[in-house]
Amino acid sequence: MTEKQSNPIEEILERATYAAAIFSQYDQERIDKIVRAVYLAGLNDRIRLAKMAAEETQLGKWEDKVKKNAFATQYVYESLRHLKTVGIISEDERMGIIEIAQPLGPILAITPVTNPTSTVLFKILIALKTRNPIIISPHRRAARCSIEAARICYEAALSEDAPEDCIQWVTHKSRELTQQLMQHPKLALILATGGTGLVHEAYSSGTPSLGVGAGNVPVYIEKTADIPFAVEQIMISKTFDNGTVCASEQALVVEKEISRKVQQEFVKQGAYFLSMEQIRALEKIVLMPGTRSMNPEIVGQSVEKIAQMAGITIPADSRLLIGQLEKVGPNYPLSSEILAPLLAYFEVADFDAAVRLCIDLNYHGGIGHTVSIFSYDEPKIQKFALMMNAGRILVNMPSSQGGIGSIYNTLEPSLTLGCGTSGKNITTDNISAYHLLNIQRITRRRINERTSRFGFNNYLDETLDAETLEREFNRNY
Amino acid sequence: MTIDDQIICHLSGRLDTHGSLDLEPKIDEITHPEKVLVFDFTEVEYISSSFLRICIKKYKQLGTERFCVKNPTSDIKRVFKIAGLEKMIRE
Repeated sequence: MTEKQSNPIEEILERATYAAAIFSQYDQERIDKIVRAVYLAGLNDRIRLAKMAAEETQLGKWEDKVKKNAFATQYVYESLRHLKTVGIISEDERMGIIEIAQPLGPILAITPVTNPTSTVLFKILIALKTRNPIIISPHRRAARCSIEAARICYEAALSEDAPEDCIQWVTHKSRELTQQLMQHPKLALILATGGTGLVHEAYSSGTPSLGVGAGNVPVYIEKTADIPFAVEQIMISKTFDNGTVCASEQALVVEKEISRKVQQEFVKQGAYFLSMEQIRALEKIVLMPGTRSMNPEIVGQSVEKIAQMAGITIPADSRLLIGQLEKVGPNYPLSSEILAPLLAYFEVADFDAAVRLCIDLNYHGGIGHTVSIFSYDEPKIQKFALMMNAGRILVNMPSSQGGIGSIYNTLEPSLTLGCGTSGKNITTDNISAYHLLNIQRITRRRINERTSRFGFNNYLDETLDAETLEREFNRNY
Repeated sequence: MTIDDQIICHLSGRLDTHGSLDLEPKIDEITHPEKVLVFDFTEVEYISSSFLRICIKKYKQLGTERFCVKNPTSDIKRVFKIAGLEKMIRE
């Protein structure tokens, strides 16, 4: 838009600010046309982008990435299409409140390697729906496909006369530049999806941020569960895109009473239980030696590749690897989050032991994220839920597809899942367009009946103690 | 259009992308390095990115003293405020 400036960060933010200014004039109808054009472009290119992503990142399965792109466009669009995001969005005469939606301003979207194009499509749709310019900063190993996703969205947006530079992307690989972007005073919000370090940097930047935490999803198969169904659902979820979704199951917790049946069912449906020796071999490769964080080389790889990396032999038709462990913790690498078709398995005595173990798993790197239970015992489901620290407690559904919402439940469709303050996030919500608005409230006089009757001067009376004040304040109310 | 050393452009309606493309050469034509170029926005309802770009170009070309925008509506004033370009507005 302007002449080239020496500092690319300044130029990007300047352009984004101009786009925000132009966006401020758009009404709901114009915005909805832009969003529709972008959604259709993303959905049309779902297969090409998925193949690009699989080829560039060398992780996951392109067929599943197609489904993720479709989710990020079609499901997200359907959730947005009737949403009011411009001007007056609600009026409550009785309460005397009118809500007005205002945009935030330029958003920096940090997108991951695991769900690259789908996260880009998702973030662009929710940003445009809320009249916010967006700057995509993709993971360096997924830069090409992410930028291509952003580019087709931008082209579609411009075809509906969206502001110039309402979508931009950065191609630099320098972490320093990303930090400069994050700290820039013209930036309104960081929408960070990625590793813990990066999300922490976003929150530390001084710019308001919506980030996500890491997951370590326990799945408890309670003894009333429909075992073949539960196993089928877990297989659907954990093998999806080779386990790259952060809401995917990480550890199975099964009561002894049904453990044999569960194991038989898993084997029947294509899982392979590792020997102790094979577990030891895998433990050497799943985490990074220094940081003890997940080894990126294993993320989203097929079972064959993982077996090859660990130097172990597995049956040819295996779809999922399961390792039975005794305990949770740093001495048991398979009990950590590993975004690959690999699950830990724990056998426990009873319900209480199961919940205790799920607490350990939940607090072992996955706090605030997602937990899963298969059960038809309502009191147990509720007890389990109350003991967990998780934004999403999924019941009788695959957790990858359940966590991201709107396929198996009515959660908001999202590829950015809040993990609450324990996960160092501000919310446990599935991040959606609603989070990208400043809501202003016009408020009319509706005087609290107690205020007019009781009067503030009573507080000046030293003879009135707290209990008297409480009684008088609420008299005849 | 010219009053002494000022060139006043009375613009009106929606300054959309296509309109801006048509306007740009005309504005370039009337621009004089020693005269003040004024965009009177009294009747302007909307400006596109393209027109904002013309404003930025003129501002850079002529400087603070020789370019300004006058009488914007509240909607347009807010556009310049959000863009950080309120310095172009002379009330």
